[in-house]
Amino acid sequence: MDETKIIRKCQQGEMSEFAVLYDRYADKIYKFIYYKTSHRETAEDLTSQTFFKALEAIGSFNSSRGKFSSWLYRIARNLVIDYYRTKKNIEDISDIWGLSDDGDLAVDLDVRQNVQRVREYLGNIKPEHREVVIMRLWDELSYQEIASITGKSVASCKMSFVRAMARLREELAYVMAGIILLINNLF
Amino acid sequence: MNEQEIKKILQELYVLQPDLAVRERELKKIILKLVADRPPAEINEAFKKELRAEILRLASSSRPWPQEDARGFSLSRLWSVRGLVFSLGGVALIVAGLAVYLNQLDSKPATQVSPAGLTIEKLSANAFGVLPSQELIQSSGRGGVSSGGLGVGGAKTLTSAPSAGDVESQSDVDMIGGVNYKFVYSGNITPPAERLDVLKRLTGQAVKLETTNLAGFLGQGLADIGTFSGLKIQSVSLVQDSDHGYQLDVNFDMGTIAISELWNQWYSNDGSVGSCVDPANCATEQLTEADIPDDDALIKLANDFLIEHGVGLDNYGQAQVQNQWRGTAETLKFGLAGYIPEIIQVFYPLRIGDRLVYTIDGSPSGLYVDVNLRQNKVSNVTGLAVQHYESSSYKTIQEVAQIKSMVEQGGVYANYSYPNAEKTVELSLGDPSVQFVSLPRLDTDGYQEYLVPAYVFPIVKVPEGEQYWQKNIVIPLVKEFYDNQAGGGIEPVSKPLLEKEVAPAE
Repeated sequence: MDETKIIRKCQQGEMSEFAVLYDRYADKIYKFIYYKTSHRETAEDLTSQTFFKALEAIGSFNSSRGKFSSWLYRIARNLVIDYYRTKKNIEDISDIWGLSDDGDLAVDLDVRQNVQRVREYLGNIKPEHREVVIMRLWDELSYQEIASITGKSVASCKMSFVRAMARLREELAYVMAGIILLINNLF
Repeated sequence: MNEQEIKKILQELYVLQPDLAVRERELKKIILKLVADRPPAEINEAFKKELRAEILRLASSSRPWPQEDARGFSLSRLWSVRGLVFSLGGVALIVAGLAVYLNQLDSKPATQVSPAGLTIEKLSANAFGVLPSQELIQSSGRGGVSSGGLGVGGAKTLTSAPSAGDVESQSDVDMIGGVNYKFVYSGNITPPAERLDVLKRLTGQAVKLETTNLAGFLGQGLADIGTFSGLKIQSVSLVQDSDHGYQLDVNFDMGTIAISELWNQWYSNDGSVGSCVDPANCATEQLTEADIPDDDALIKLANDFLIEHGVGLDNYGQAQVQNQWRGTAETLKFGLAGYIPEIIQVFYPLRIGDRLVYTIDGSPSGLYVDVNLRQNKVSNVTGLAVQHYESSSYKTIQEVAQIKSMVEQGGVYANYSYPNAEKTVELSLGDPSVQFVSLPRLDTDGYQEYLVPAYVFPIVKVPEGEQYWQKNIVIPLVKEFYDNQAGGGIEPVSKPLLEKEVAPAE
């Protein structure tokens, strides 16, 4: 069924239809949060809060002003921000994205290595660029969707991705040059 | 992420920074590595199911009022916009001419098209061939499980043996508490007339394009449009470039016009979606009940808008303000913001002659006008469509027992009966009247819509303290609706234009 109709039904009181929206987005929202927290319990907690808030506020959702999915991701993103603010007393939210392995917060053991690897090569990228890269490559969201969720322009999101890629390529080139130099020195 | 998606990402990069193209190999390697290091993040299915059940529980406790109507595709009428007349029967809509015409709109007085706009062309019997069948309607949207509301007074309907998915969601229902419904009609059901007229709305009339003119209009080196023979305009979006402007989406194939507010002219461009910018602050941002105008004021606002824009209301019943939200303002108490809508709908039920039009679920069809309370303006109009029909008589069901049986089960699609129901609620039905039920069908000829005569039994009594989402039980009366199963039934026949006559609007 068309999503607008489902939302309209919810807004008209047929709230059981919300289950259809839940079925459609539960996995995606959970992953979106997990990529930012790397901790299952936290991701489950924030996923629950996301849907409860959406259920509560769906009456104020206006489909003519944006997609439901963007609205939902936006709620999730705000909750993640609140989570980090509470846990790490962070004021500058641009510092939190994706890489939550600073020892203060719980991170699932089985993904600790992943997180560490990603930190190694995304660590030198600006946090706001990093967020776009993760949303584009891990969440597989379009630039339009990323823009709606983050409140930035599409052009800005695209430029963030370009700059991140250019920076990573430079680093790769630097590493490769180092390896070649090392090999030359060895022989 | 597959190869094609990675290629797309790379192409997007090159558009913005072309010199990166020579580094494709390295970039691809970087992207592949990033994707490979994406942590496994599969949601725990037990958690997912538990959360779903909790959401359903909250939903049922927060919205315990009946659902009165469902906005589906519905019939309406031809619409005119300040002198711009869309007559789908034969307007040669030339894009260049349209652009010039639109520029002149402001200086032209409003022109009203035919006040009724309803035509019915009588054809011979069974002229439409195969009608949408029970099975088709079921599989194309209504589905085996109705949206009857889980635990909110609705009923879950199963039309066949439950699938694995049904069984799974059934457990959710059981958690909420099963209620069985019994539909009681104490009067005598009489069979309908042996044959009744089915109406078919005329759709699929895309406007033929004068390609030479279009080619001239687009003659800016883009492409030679004139080389594409037989072009038609299927749909067009018109944008009103003014403060609080509207967008008109005209679909010539479906014969509809949708009016919606132009986002960037109505709302601040702060990147927010919905009126609740920060979900954490929804409670403080929401309207209060005191902000809601009374029904008369809302209807006047809607009427004024329709009259201003030449939408005649001759074929609609009394306007009704959709006030279901009022139940929630009092009952939504789970610690979060209350539900006060920012948009309230005014509904105009569609009437063809002396019959109203319903959906198969028993909701009335018609015109919906959204009133934006913050802006005190009409923001959307849906349900506007041409009302040109062909009419053809079809045999009806005559077996009273069959009708009675369907009525008692709550409609064509049987309500699910809980084996261990916590209770059975008896719903009393009033005397039936013959109305129309709208049955859509999407086939190789495109979108088709039929208005089939139906008995409509109003639910006149629901026991105190109980809720039921439907207001009516609809029983289509055309025999073929029940006979056609998966391609069987009456063979399509070519459309004979016998007995041709144009009936004026009643």
